[in-house]
Amino acid sequence: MSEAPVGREPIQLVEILQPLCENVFGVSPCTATGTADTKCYNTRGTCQDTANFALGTPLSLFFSSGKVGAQSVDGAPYIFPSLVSVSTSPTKVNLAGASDNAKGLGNRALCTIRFKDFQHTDRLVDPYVDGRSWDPLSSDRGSFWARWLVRNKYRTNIQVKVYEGYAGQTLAQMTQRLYIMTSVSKQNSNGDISMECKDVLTRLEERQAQVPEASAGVLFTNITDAATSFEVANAVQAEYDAIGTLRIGDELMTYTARATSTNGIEFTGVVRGTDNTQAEEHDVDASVQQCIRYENAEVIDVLLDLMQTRGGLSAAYMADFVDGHPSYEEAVNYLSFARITRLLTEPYGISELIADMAEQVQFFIWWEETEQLVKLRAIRGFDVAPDTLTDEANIISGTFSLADKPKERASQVWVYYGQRDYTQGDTDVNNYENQYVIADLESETEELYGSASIRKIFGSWVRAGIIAQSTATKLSNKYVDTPTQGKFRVDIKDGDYQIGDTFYISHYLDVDQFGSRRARPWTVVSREEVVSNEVVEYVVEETGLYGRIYFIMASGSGGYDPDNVSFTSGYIGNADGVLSDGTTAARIG
Amino acid sequence: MTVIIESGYTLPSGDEPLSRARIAHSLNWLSGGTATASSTASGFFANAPINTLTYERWKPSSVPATWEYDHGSAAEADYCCIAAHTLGTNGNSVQAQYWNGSSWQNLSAVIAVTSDEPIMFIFEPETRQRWRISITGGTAPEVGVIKFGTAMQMQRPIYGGVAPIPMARQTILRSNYSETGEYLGRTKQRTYLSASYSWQHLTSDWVRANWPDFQQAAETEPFWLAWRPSSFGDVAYCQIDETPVPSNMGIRDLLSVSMNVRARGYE
Repeated sequence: MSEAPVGREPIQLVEILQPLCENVFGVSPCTATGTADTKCYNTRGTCQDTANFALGTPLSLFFSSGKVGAQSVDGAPYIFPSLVSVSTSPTKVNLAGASDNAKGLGNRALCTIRFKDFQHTDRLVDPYVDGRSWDPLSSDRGSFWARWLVRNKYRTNIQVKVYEGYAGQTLAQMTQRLYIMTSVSKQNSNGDISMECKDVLTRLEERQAQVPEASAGVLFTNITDAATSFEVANAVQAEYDAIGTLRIGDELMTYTARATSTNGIEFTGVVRGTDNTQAEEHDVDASVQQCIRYENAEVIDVLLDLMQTRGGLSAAYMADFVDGHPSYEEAVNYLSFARITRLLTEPYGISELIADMAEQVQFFIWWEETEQLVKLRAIRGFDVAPDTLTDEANIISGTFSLADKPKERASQVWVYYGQRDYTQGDTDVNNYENQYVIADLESETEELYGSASIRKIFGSWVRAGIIAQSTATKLSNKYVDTPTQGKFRVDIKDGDYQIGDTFYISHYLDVDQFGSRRARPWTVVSREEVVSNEVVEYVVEETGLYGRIYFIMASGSGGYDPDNVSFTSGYIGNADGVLSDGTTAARIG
Repeated sequence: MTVIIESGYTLPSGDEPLSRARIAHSLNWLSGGTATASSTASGFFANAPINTLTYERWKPSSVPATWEYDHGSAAEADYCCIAAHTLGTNGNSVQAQYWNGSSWQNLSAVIAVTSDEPIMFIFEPETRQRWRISITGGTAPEVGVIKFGTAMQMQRPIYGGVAPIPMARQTILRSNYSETGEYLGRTKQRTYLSASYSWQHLTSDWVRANWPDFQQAAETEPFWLAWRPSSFGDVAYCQIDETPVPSNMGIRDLLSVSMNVRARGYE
């Protein structure tokens, strides 16, 4: 639990990391020429020698509301007092891919920042301000934002940080959240500016990141269904892997070498009609698509390849996926059984691929804004003793609510796996060799829910029955009864719980049939500071049915001692499944 | 006390006594000159204090330090005002000075500054070209605005109804309580200082000679106001949201005027 002061003065700052050329106008290597009044602003949008434009350290522009700007914040020497508000729509993870309203990786964190426009001296933002013949403060020279938007025409993907702390803290002591600027809108004559930002995973969305990339190459000549080498035009060697798999039409083929040739690239050692496809004749100009193959791969390795290597996410953002870090350990401990296989024969959005994988193997990933890391957590039981939040000590008056999610109920779970032909649709049941079904038919009777609710999962990444069985079991356990979602607010002092964390809730509205409070475990799927550094709103899902994780202890371990027992130590109970003090014993299943 | 009166100050003939408010505004302070400083820390600007923006500041690399305003020609001044500074926080002492052609002469004693409240030096009028403040002791402070000029002197004193500006805090307070009424936390948001000033029995001649300039100045720039320099050290660096309009009192040719000001908070 944090030591946030009970009485406190929150402070919020926004930092825009404006890209800046490291050259000096007219000084080699910059070859631009002109007068002091026509010099650039060291931004790409104003550059007069684009061939030599060279990004250097970004320019940090800090903004705050006036009351903060009037104070000093160590680490932010120059603060524009034009910040009006920062509103966020938080990341919401899609546990088990159950929600139709949270597509793919879940809802991306959005951040809308509003500024007031103002007259400005151009200090800090104009490296050549002292030489210009005009006074930037004069009313005929425009306002700060009017000028900034023109000078920074290429502003999408600029990093924006939101700092939240308390009066007296240095910048380094404040919590910081990282976003990517996506647009600036609502600039109007009232002086209002609205800036839209999203979290880093936005870069993996379909329009921005596709794998494999569409290959430009086309057949140079017609080829027969037996050709084991051929030439490809309209492409260069580097666009294709040294060894790999190609798709032409509905045929897949492997090759052992490729080299630059007279007419483009020559592929040799070609084996035709692989991966359950048929060798066929193909005509000149047919597209030759590079494929990506994952064979019996670890989930963590595939995620790193998709997000970092191919999706371009910074290695710094993926640091939690490196050996020894929490997400890596999570994958090793709870997902290593799930070796996945897939052949990508056409471009897919990376976010779509990961969302499919998450549903089929049962994990979720999210962007942790404050740590600035991509995180992973398996869908599983809890392995540390959860805290308990109560209506007396934690939950703010009048903010607690529970809601059923009937559309997410699943009386039957059908998992298709073992895709036959990767050139055909991955949502066609006839394209899968295997099917694993779990059904709770009793729950469909008139006395219970009165209808079936069938959840179909197309295991495009799944070849092993153990994965299909595990996924179906988890989904059935969680969703056979209508799931419940809770929402409530806490004071910032209780706001340290992050996405994926589990706690018990004791509240007078959550009782059993006898009216007794039932302290159930809930997992955080969304966390939002609805009032910065003051009030946190949690959306939680009841996850008790995933169970509690025990470990089988080493031979020779002592007997059950209720006063000295690890939370994850599994003890065998008596015939009734309880231990000597009445505690429910561990159960294998 | 951030009204700092020159040692041995003698009220110039014709001046209003220091029980009357002094107002430093953009039409009575010196402008158009240049600024230099003994040193300037990275990220700060030596000429920042020339304009009235409080977020652009000068900070010396170290103390002792001086900041000088060269008007370019001799001009009269009887005040030096400072705002948006951290001289109190940084434990500095400050002194106002002018250049007599051969050496720097003191306009005040060396004063240890105890808070970040705006400062108004009041001294006997001098007609000089170069003015400066000298900072000693403590650590390097930040200073947002510095002005030299000849103050507007209100014709009548204010007798009552003025909130001490350092305490006129407009602070928003919010508390959180649990479902069962337990106290969970409290948040405060300091915003600004707010005060009202009112003058009665101002003669028509005085108002017509002085008030229009103040109206025009206050509509465009902040101003300093020390409401009773002889008795209280309260100085506000403030703005108005509505132009103060004099009103005929119905007593001979006397007028009254009042204004609500919004002053910059400093702690």
